[in-house]
Amino acid sequence: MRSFGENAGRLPNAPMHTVTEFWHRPGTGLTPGAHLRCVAGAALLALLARPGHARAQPADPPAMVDGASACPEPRAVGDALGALVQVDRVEHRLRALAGGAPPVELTDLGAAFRVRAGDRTREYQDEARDCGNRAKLAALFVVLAADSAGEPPVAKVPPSLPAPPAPAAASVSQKPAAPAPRTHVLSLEVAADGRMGIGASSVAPGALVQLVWERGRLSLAAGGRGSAPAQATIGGLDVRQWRVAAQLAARVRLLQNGLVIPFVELGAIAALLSERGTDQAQVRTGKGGEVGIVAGAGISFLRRDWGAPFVLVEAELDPVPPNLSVLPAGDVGRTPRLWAGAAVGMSLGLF
Amino acid sequence: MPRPCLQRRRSPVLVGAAALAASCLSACGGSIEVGSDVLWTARFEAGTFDEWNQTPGGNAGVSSPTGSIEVSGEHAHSGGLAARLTVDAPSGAGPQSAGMSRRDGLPAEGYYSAWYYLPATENVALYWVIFKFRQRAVADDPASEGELFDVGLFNSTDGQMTLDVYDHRVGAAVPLQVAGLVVPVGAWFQIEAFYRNASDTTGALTVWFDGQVVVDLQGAATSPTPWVEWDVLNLGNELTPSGASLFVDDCVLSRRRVGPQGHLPD
Repeated sequence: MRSFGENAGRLPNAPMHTVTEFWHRPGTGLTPGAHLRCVAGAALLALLARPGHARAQPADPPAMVDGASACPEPRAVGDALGALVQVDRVEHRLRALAGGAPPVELTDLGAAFRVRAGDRTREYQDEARDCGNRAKLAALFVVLAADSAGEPPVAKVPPSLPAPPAPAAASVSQKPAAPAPRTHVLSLEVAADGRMGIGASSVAPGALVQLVWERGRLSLAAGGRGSAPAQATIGGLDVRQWRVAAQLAARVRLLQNGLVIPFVELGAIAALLSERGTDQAQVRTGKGGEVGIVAGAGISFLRRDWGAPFVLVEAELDPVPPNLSVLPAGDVGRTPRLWAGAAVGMSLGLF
Repeated sequence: MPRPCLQRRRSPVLVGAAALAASCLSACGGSIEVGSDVLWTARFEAGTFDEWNQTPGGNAGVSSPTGSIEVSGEHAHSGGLAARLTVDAPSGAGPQSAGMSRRDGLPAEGYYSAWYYLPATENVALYWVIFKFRQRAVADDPASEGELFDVGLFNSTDGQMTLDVYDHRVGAAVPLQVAGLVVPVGAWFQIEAFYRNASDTTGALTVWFDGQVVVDLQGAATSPTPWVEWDVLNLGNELTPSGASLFVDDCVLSRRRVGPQGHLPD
């Protein structure tokens, strides 16, 4: 049987990496400065090895741990915390920090969950939604946050140290030290847009506005864009054209978190196209409709609580574009079947 | 282990987007009219020659004792009416003419088109001109007017009607680019010409018969002055049987080629 300190010395220094690494990294010496980390690490060992152990001092979830989280539940985190430390001292430390009430707040993000302890917030990725493991990780984070408040809480030493368990299924990503940006359910995207009709010798500047409704990695983007009047040549005919379009697209984020978050989208688009001849004996303006599919890829980056900049590149395919007609020749050519464009703008979180 | 809730909700969104995209694929584009290069038309649907007579420089009439013009419902290329031009030009009667003309005020270059209908074959002893350009040596001197290009009809060796283009600048017929060309009798056919009036080597004349190029003259002066006259007419000399008629419809002056499938304004 190994002693607490010996076992704790195998834990990495904070910040944490993955759960599996806790059990396989080579041991290092325990330093006095890492005392609380040792306490926390030992507690984690005990938690992972003996789920449900040491419930002698459960926390009072309404007072200490709260939040609209189904996985982990606040009470489960409170229980796990009570198995690690004296909750009242941890609570005292956390209340000394900024961040407001309650001292510990949980948020279930679906494939991830967020823990706020005092003014410290971290977000953990767990697509498997192992609620028990989430509770233990949350409790550990709370202990570390309390440690950062200055006075280490008194740890409860487990009566015996368990054998290392099998690696846990959950993978916990290391997060930056800064609080994770707020995730918005509804965002407003505004952007400057440039669009080119392939084969029409035309590039038109414009603007894009759309609402994006997010659910985890998926989002639904609905909005419109307009292109300013621009000169184009279609079928040998010089025309001045402008275009407005409404589109609905499903978007998938390829990464959930990070400095740069790539995404792809696919959807449908309906456009109103205005064309006016420029060198005919008698010019007139005509309008036509286009419907098609739109596919795109983009990135958002430098996320902040209020939103993030983004870059979007799109291609539109209109299978049956309108014909351009001029008398006496009749139809001289079709408007572009393929449009390519790029938008650069800001995504502003609304809710 | 149960699947995360989000996984179960993803399908309806994607299915909905795919259904919307698929429905969009079935829509049609239609047509957008952006203007017209038609400068002028004469379609005779009002039953008069006003389209010619009320245009500056335009005229419809006869210039010989036997000619006659009328708007007729007997044959029409489009609508219900066309112009009927008749001359009686037997041997010894000299040239007889009836028709329409536009002079002066014509563009430096343009497409001139007219549809014709021959009700019967004629025997052409000298000439039968149905489409022509004229010029002036001095723009403001009517006395300096002269012939330029004639598009006419004559008989091929087998007695059918065929086309003839005559260049008055050189005093000779222009060889056609199409051998054995037959002008139909009892059916509408189109003669269209692109004429660029120039006193230098940029002058040009291209003639289409039912959309087929039959003459293409480039790189030579066409007229010494900007003055141009275009005639759609029945000008015959020694035609038998007498009383040679032809019908004319859908005359067009355009900046863009009309062609047999050309669309005209309503």
